[in-house]
Amino acid sequence: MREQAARAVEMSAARGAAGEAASLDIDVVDIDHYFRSQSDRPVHAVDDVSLQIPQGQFVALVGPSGCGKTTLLNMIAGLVEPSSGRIMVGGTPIKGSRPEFGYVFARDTLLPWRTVRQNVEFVLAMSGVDRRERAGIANDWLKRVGLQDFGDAYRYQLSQGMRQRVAIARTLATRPRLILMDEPFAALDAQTRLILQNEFIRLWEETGATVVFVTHDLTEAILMSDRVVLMTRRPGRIKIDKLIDLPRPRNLEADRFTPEFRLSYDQLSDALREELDRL
Amino acid sequence: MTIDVKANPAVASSPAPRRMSKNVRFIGGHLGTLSAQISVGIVALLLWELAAHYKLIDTFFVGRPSAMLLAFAGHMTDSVFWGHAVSTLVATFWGFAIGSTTGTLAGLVLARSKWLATLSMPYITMLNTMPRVALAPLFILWFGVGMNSKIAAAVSLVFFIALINAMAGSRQLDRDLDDLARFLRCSEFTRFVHFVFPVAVPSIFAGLRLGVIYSLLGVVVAEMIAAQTGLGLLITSYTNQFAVSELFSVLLFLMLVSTLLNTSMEKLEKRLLRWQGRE
Repeated sequence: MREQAARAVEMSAARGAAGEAASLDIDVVDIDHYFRSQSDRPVHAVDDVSLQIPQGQFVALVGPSGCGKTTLLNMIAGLVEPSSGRIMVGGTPIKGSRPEFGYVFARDTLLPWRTVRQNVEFVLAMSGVDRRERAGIANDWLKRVGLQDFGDAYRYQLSQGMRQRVAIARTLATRPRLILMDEPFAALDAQTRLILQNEFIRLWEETGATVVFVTHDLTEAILMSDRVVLMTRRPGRIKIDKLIDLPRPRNLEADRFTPEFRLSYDQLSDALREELDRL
Repeated sequence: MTIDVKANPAVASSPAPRRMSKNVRFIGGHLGTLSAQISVGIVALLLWELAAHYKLIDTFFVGRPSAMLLAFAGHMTDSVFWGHAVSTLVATFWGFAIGSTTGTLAGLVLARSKWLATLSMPYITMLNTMPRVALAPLFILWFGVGMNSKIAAAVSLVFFIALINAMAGSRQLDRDLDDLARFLRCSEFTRFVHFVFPVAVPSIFAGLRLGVIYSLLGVVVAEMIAAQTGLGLLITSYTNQFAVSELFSVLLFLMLVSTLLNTSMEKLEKRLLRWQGRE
């Protein structure tokens, strides 16, 4: 496990050198988290989790539903404060989200009263981008996700896949150094999912940003990430922390027929099934 | 509500030719429906007229359509009638303007302040459930016979409708959008302007649409109790004179006015809320 972490640092250092901005290594230390529930007894959601993620790494968090993976993601995002333990990003403790973070939610969370372009511009405005630059950046990113003709459309006029494309464009447009994603492709049909996974990987590979990606789809996790972290049933602990040794740039269609994918998949799915069977 | 082909010229042309043809069919169906609806009205009026002609009903009490239409034509060219009508409409306008503005503002404030809402809610509920037209005599006592008491009666109705709708509306911000606002570090002000208020607008509009009609109701009731001018006064005096056809003529006019007000509100609503994409 230690060896793997060391390799992870190496890998990302190589990729980080290409990037320009400051590195935002993530250091999650001894996190415990309790939810208040309807009954008086608090629910133990996350149990003693520690996790180091170097700048530039693409990490998937997988596990049975309710295992606390989204909670862990939201803690890194600064949306949830852990009951105990600490989270450092780029050497400073997290207190709320930061401008260099981006978040792609499970549902698209577009503002339905704004057009597609206005949605991108709004997020740019909130990230402090100058008014005169917003339209140009928005148009550029809409073009990159193939929505240049839909700048004036409203949310209701878009398919689910197009909405999630806008959500991705608006997140990447702010040039985040850390991208948090909560099952961003789960609501899509299989065809659209594959297209968007490919598009996202392609866009991300140019950025050098760190990605923390929550999913319940093992295939997606292995094919897209550098590293898969599998959590146990609640209270969530880290059960497996595995580096995925597939070369970049990835090819999501071809990579699934490689021995590395097969081995990783077998190992992780056995572990996941063990968790699902445990009651 | 009716012809919606040009509802979204920007987008409807390119991605959704199918929707076009559906709308065209819809219009055909709608015209058919409309003519059927008009026929029902004409048949009812004809039956009424025939029943009067063959003395099956006593026109002294229930009038007859031909006499009503004659009285209506007379009213339309009578400057005295228009004096009454203008008086009623001006009061309706002010009652609506004052009631809906103050009510909406109060609703938005109450939705933001938990303790203010807790303290005032029982009283608001009580005032709202009480039959407020019963307050009209009191307003006449306070403000005298004239414009002010009519406006007060209208405001007492419109205010609560607007308040309750604005309050309900601004509580509809869903969890995901709230998370987005938090993640983007929006200030309280930005959160209100870009999230809470737009979410509340449909509900506020539903209140305004009701409010217009209730404003007219409040004014006419106040005029029926005591007034120097106004259609409500005209209604009482025609009733006292057993001038049933003239009375029906005034009612017809009120019906046309309220339909016109309601339709204009719907039009305005559709324009402002075109992002909802409703038919």
